Amino acid sequence: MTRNLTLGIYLPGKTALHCLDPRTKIAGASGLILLLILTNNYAAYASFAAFTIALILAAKIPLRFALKGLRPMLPFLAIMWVFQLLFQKPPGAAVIFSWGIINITDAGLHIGTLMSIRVLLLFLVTTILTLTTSTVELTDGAEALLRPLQKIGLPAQELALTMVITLRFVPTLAEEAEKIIKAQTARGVDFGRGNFIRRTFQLFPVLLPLFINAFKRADELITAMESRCYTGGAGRTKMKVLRMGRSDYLAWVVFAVFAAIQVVLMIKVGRPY
Amino acid sequence: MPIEIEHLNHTYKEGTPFARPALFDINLKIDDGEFVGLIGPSQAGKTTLAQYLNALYIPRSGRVLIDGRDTADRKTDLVRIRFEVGYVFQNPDHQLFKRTVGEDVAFGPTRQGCSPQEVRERVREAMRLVGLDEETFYHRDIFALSGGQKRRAAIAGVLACRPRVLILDGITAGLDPRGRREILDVIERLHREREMTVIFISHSMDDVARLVERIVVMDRGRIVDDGPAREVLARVGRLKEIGLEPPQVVEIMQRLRERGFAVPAGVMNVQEALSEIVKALGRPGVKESWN
Repeated sequence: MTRNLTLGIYLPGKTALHCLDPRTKIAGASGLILLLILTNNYAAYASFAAFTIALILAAKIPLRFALKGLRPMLPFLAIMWVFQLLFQKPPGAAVIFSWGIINITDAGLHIGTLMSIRVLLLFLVTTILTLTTSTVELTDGAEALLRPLQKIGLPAQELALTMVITLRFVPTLAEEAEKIIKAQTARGVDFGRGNFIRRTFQLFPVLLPLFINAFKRADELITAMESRCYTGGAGRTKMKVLRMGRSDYLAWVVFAVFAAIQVVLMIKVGRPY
Repeated sequence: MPIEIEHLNHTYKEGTPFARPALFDINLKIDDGEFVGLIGPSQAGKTTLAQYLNALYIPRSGRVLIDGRDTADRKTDLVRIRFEVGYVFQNPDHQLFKRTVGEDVAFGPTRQGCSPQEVRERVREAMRLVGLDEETFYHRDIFALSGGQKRRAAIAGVLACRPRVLILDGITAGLDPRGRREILDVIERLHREREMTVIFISHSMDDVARLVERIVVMDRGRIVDDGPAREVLARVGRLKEIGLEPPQVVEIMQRLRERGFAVPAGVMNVQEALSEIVKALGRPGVKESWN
């Protein structure tokens, strides 16, 4: 059940992507996400997808493994797609299908499809970041990027820590969920059987222990941190100081070129509806 | 309800970059009423193997037959198998989710579709078997239980399904000596009185030596020894090789033998050890009813 989970897992490696400065990777991923949100047509998405796959291959992540992570999202996307199809009716859109009270417009079809592609690519980009960056690097990077904002009172270190703890515990909670599912299966809960309502009720024996254990874990973590005199970010120094290298500058050039291509594609091709 | 495993292989996290073979060509047969200890160091594959025994894992390579029913066969009723082969996991917090002990123990039989009277009857019986007084504990909040009591509540929750085979996975870990002894007593009684097949997974050799009749030793995904407890424990060197600490009694007898005392191998408990040592010392006057 949790075997398809790829987000939040770190896949150790020695590829160029692994060795980049985490600031480059976080900023790069954020830049890519920004591009994704702006993207408005199929050609630009196709070129984006090609770039994403190139990144996956460059990081030596097995393509099938990366794509498998998308599987759990498909049902949600399907539901969202249907909703867009049924309810997106911008003024001036052409009706392409009509049956009773159901009217489907070309704009609805395009918006739904583009949105699904966007979410899938968004997920892939985030996955590439976490697969190639260890949690320690992620915190350091996020903290460094947020540091300028400290001047206006943003607790950069604390925010970075919160983010990393969240990411760190996704696989842990997933593993725990799997154990709980097994313990309840052993008592005769037949997961994934029955209608929608029955399936929802089947989640109670899993969610309750999961939440209780998550709170317990948080409590233990706080104790562990306090017993090691954690007092927040003020005045902390780093053992490893982040340094940008030649490969980072190269990565920025690649990103700039790619962003330029995307922007051109967005403007030249334009919305399909 | 015999359980047979033939040529079973297992790969952990199959289809991901973290894939790692975990079981290699396992062959095992467990007969009715046996009391089997499954031991081995961490990562030996004990839990993985055990989860095949109640169809939590379905074999992709090899065969698992439970009472002649192939778990990989689509026609096999897996839910029924899971009720017949009860599985108690190490961490009771993964299992207990209702508000009170009584409600949680009742969960299994309710799932089985028992009538309210039947459920009530089974809860009462299961709680009695694990030594949780019904008066005191039926309405007790799960959070108010001690570690040992939680374990017993979890066992009761599985017993209430009336399994014929009981798998106990590391249930003595993290308990104090008293909690440990109480749990072991419960299990021994279940085996004796109910003639239940029990599969006891542990890396504490002391627990295993105290209880079981047959020991299966696993190491790195393979069964490396299997036989009557007495014989397996007598092969002390082999157990030490894979990183297991033999029971203290076995260790003491082994050292005595090394120093030239005429004590036999395969002594399992303190009582036997005492009489053998007394015999070897040739002093019949020593009080033998030591406990």
